[in-house]
Amino acid sequence: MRLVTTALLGAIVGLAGTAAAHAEFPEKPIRLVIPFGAGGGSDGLARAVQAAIEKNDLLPVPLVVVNAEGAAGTVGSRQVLDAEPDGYTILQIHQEMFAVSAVGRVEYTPDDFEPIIQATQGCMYLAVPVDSEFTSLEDLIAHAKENPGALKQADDIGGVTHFPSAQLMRQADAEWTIVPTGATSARFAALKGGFADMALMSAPWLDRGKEDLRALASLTEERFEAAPDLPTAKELGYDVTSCLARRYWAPAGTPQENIDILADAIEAAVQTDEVQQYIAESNEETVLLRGEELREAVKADYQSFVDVADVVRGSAPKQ
Amino acid sequence: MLDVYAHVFTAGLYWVFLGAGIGILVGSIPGLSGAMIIALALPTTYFMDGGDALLFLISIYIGATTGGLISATLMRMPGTEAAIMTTLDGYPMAARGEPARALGIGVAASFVGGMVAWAILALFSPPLSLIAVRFGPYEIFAMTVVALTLIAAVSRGSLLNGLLAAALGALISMPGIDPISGTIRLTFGQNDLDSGLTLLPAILGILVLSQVIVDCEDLKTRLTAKAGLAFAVIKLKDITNYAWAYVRSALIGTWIGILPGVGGTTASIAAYSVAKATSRTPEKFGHGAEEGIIASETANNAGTVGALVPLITLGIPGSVITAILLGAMVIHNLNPGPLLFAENPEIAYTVIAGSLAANIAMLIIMLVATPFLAKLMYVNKVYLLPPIVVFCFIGAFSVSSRFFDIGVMLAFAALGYLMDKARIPPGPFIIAYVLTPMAERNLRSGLVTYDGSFMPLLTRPLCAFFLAVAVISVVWSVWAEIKAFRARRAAQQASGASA
Repeated sequence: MRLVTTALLGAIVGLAGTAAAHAEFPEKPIRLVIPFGAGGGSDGLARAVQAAIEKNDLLPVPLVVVNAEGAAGTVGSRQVLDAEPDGYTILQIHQEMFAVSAVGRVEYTPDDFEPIIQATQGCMYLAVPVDSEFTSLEDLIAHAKENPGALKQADDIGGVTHFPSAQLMRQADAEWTIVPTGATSARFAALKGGFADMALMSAPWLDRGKEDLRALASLTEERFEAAPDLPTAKELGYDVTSCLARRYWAPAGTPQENIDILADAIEAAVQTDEVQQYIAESNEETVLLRGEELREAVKADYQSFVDVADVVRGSAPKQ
Repeated sequence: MLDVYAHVFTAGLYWVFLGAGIGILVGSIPGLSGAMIIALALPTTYFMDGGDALLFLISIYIGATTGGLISATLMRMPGTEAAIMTTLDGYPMAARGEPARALGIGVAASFVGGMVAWAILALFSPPLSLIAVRFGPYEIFAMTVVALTLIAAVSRGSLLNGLLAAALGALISMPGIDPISGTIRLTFGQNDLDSGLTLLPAILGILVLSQVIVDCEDLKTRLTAKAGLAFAVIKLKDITNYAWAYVRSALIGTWIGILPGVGGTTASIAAYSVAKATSRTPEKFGHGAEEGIIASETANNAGTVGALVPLITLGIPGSVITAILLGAMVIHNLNPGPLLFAENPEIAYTVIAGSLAANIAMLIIMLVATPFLAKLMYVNKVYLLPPIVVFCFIGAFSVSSRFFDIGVMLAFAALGYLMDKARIPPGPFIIAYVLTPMAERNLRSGLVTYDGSFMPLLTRPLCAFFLAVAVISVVWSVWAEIKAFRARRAAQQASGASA
């Protein structure tokens, strides 16, 4: 029954969005589009935030979470892009939005959206199989320099972690091959099965993979609390970070008052015990950014994707 | 370990039966899938104990795979993707007046498949998962090629039509994001096509809605029910006669389920095709063969349980649903991954005991429900078709919350109806549609892994083995086709001479 209600509600909200009148915001349900499937990290955070908003009456209207997956998040992003800029249709997505835009897979850019708030970030580290010959980032990069293209990194061409990998290649003046593999669990299988030499893994795998993987460097500003002995790439001379920043967006042109109301509600929700517990359990960290600070962060972040777009495009196999 | 089993079979039974019941119900309704219901049920488990939440979700998962056979058998509409192959023989058997027997065979097959896979899950999970990760892109590609060549076996007797349908299926799977380079291809500038023509709307259209149209042409004729309730007919004979078919299909199903990224639908396609290729009476397939139902239903349930092997041993989800189960473990802080057995053994055992309990619960529910379900065969379709159409629309819309997919579904319904009229079989179409992307992705990923060389396809022993099987399968099918053609011609000449 809930399915029916959600589907119908989704449809009604979508249609009603065009007929928004100027009154006290918000006066009707807000549709939060998650451009990925149920059960993943994006969906998990959105559902936790929604539950907290509902439980604590942080908004006078329901927040309806809608999964619209497909085409690397572009199906859902387009639904928000095409919606009225009134704050009733919003998006939660990480840098996958920058990735598709930087390589020109889509015609829109982050400028077509207005950032509402950043809630969390989850960072990556560089891992090799535990029986690998490489015991440090230096070893790995030295080998890559001598044998261009020989090393295989399990990732996805044009995916969100390909860009920091390309930054690392450029800074090290080295080159290795990106093997299209999939998300972190598929990368783990590729490393364990001996089909790849290296991969960027998310923080939960620091613990999960401790018997099968060797961590070489964290792609963070500061060392992971969970792994204080693991150096950051920055300490080793490479200024590369890779953190999925989960941010909320509205279509460009949405009134600032409405954005502030939404940002207040989401910020309060993130600070509740339940959401804090969820964030801790998924090994991410709360990083609340909004307003000018958020706009600056988005700009710098997107620029770092655009800067290496040619490297990313160049790594598609020429078959 | 024993106390986990004790809990599952006492206090946990409530969640098991509730989950299996919900699973069977949604599985039997085309348009509603197990993945959807599990995604919806996930938030409700936030407030449950982690172990009970897993029991509940796994029971839905197993129930949904079984439920798909009900509508596949009684209405020729697969309730879930994994039941596609069941429609080929389940419905003809039901239509000739044996709905309870067709359901009974399907239920028994589901149960046997689930039990064999459970035994493998309980006994051999860790070593099998280590073998599974050694299956690289080329191994999976070679295995997919075997399944693809079986299209020839499935379309025996009308090979040209079968190949035509398969080519169409392969073509239609192409638009969208290129699986390797990530660029968008064959969308003709239509952004709606960026995610391709997704599986659920296509199947709902070509297999379910087109059947609705066919049914609507002929609403007056109704099968007349035999008096009284027909209890689920699970004859001992049906089990002993086909013992090898059960075991073989269960092993194929379990193994394919264990491989990451390959699911119950492929398991059932592969087992069905092997059954037909090796059967002594292949001509009966598609006309209500017991072996066909057994192969499909044993393998899809075995694949469902088999997919739990990499989930609990390595934290690798092999399908959409197991990915959601993995999400549930994360939410309940159960730390899924390679260390689950070492650090949270009670959770690993809950999954194992839960799949056993869910399998038994499924059998009990189906045995009780079958006599009543079989009656659906004789219900006026006027009452059944409208709700099915509604659920199809909901199902198609829910994929990405957009109306485009409903349009896709309607287009596929028209295509399916035309194919039905032109006697082009939907089986090869769907098989090619499901398997081509898997073959493409793994072949090209293998080319990147091995620096553009095809040689490992011949030098890696498993690849070479699978490719050899593929060649034999094609030669066998062509030879059988030629033999059948000669036999027909000889018969014609003989009758011509005698006239």
